Amino acid sequence: MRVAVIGAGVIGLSSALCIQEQFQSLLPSLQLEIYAEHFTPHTTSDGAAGLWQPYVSDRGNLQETLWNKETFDHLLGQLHSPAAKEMGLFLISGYNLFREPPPDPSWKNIVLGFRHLTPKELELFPGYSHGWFNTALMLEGRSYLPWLTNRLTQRGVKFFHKKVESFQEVSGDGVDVVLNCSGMRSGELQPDPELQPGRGQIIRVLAPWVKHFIITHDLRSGIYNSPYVIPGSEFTVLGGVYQHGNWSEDNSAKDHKSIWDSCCQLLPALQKAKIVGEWSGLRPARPSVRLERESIRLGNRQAEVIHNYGHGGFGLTIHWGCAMAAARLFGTILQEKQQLGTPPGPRL
Amino acid sequence: MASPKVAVVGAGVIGLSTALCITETCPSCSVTVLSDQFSPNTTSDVAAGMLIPHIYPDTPIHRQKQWFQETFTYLFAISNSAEASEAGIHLVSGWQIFKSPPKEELPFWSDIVLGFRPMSEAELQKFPQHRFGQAFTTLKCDCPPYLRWLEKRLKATGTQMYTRKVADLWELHREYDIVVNCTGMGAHQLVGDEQLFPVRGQVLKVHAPWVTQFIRDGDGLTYIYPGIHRVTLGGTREKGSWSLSPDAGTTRDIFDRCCSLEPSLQGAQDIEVKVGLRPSRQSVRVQREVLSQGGIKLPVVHNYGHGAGGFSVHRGTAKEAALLVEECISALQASSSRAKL
Repeated sequence: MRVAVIGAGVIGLSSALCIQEQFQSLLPSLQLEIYAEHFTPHTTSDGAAGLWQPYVSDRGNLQETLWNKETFDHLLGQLHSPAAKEMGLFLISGYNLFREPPPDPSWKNIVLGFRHLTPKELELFPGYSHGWFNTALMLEGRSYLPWLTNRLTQRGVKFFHKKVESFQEVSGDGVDVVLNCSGMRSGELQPDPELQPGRGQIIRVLAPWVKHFIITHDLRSGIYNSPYVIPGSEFTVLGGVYQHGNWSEDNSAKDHKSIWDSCCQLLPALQKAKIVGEWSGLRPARPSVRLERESIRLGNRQAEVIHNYGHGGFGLTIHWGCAMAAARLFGTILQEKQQLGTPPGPRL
Repeated sequence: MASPKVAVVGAGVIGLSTALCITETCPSCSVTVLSDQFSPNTTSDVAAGMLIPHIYPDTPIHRQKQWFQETFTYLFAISNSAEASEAGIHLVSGWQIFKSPPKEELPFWSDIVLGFRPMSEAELQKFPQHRFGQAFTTLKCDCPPYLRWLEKRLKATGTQMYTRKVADLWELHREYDIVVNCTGMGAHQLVGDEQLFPVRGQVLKVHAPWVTQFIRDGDGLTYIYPGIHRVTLGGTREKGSWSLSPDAGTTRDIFDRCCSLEPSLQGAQDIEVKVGLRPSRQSVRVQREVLSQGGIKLPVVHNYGHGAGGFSVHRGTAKEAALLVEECISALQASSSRAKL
């Protein structure tokens, strides 16, 4: 049984690994193939800072909250393993700042030590009247994706550097299941007006004295359109741009100035930080994550497609919960095809 | 006395901060720093510089609290300014953990550090051998940057600094009107203070930039303090040991203890071993006295004996010492007026 995975960002690689780990022993004929136009370090996941944090306002989607929790708990369990450093996984504490009192987030009991900021802490951030402190996780794409790739390679998964233009292209010739993890470019495989780019731009600096993440929020301008500072293991990410509908992946001088000025105002010490890079990326934004099966008729064949895309600015945050859900959908497909060799149960 | 000449002996965090305070309270003073060692070779350079107070058994708590408060406030302002990275001052969050219930649930400094609270059950799961914990955010003074920043500010005020081993305070009485003794462990010999004793500390400074949180065992022996470029792993408290040579067995032991609290440290690179002698005393000696020899008087202000808590109280004791220097100046002016009568 051949399974084609389209996309090699965090979603594609982790979904592939989940399926491989859960079904390889049950299905020795299972052969996974990953097709992607971009591999690490050139994916959207590589550009993201890597902070585990869902959006602050619940989109009303309990399922996503559960997937976020599943991801956090899974990563927390890996924290003390020898793999943690190689995965780019570590604990980090920090601040979320608001200009008016926000409702507590859906993830307040998922992270560690969530609390409101004291008046003295707020003195650090003039102009912000409320805030949260909590300990969360960093999962740096530039380390995590190579780690996932190594695990997949060890398990015999094959990689193909190819821009896939249609499901048809990968679903012939014995491929029964296609995993669509193509992120921003899912719309090219199947039109989806709900999928829109949420363009982001970041500046990378050397500021190793910054040990906390600081995310500001302006409820009027929307998520990530307010300065944020996220320290990583090699550099610190400065950001604060979210442009809905903007497809440009070029760095904008105007955005650079806006990010630099607003972050230096937030943390005056950054004025002395050395700039070491800049990057723009497109968050694959959607009102909700598309994680579902679809049977697609391709000529005289039927292929099962599992869609897993539209994770916006929280891909790393939600990836494992989604990968497990994708694996469950895969299990269902196998049961329907009676591939698992278990006594036939009721059709799902 | 137009321009009192003040010699500050010692160029660790105590000497430099005291000299700076004197230039602030007495702009007309001419201040000179004399020391046989400057950064990066002082005891202060070995320390992690964490603002977590050490308790002095014989100093009243309210005085220790005031010293800590003044130090914290001073550094907090710097950490929030454009100078923060140059001065090496930054905020750091983390945990102090205990295997058995801590003596005090709320230490005297709990309302000075930021966000002090008991650790949650979920947080304690990270430390299976510990049952209690405190979470808070405090400040760290990275050395050498902080000492270099103090030196730079001193130079800007016109303060001179000389490498010189002072074997006897009386050496200075001809050139200086007042001597400020910030010699740390050196005071044992210099002023014969038998109450001052070394507590040897060995630490490792490692490259592990993914460690963002401090972890300190409440017993004070095992700690992980992330700094700007390196993480300080500690440590030891060897009372009465004068040895400045690193011990290989101790290095292994520190590393193992720290890895058991933070397993990811196994991947730490580039381990540097350092040793410092904490200049320990039952109380910090911030005191003035007038030495007398053959009719000559020499006013001395002492500011030493900070043990494990130098960084935590340095600014507070420096300010107090500067006030004592003011008192010395007033006394000198009074006696010289009397002499004129």
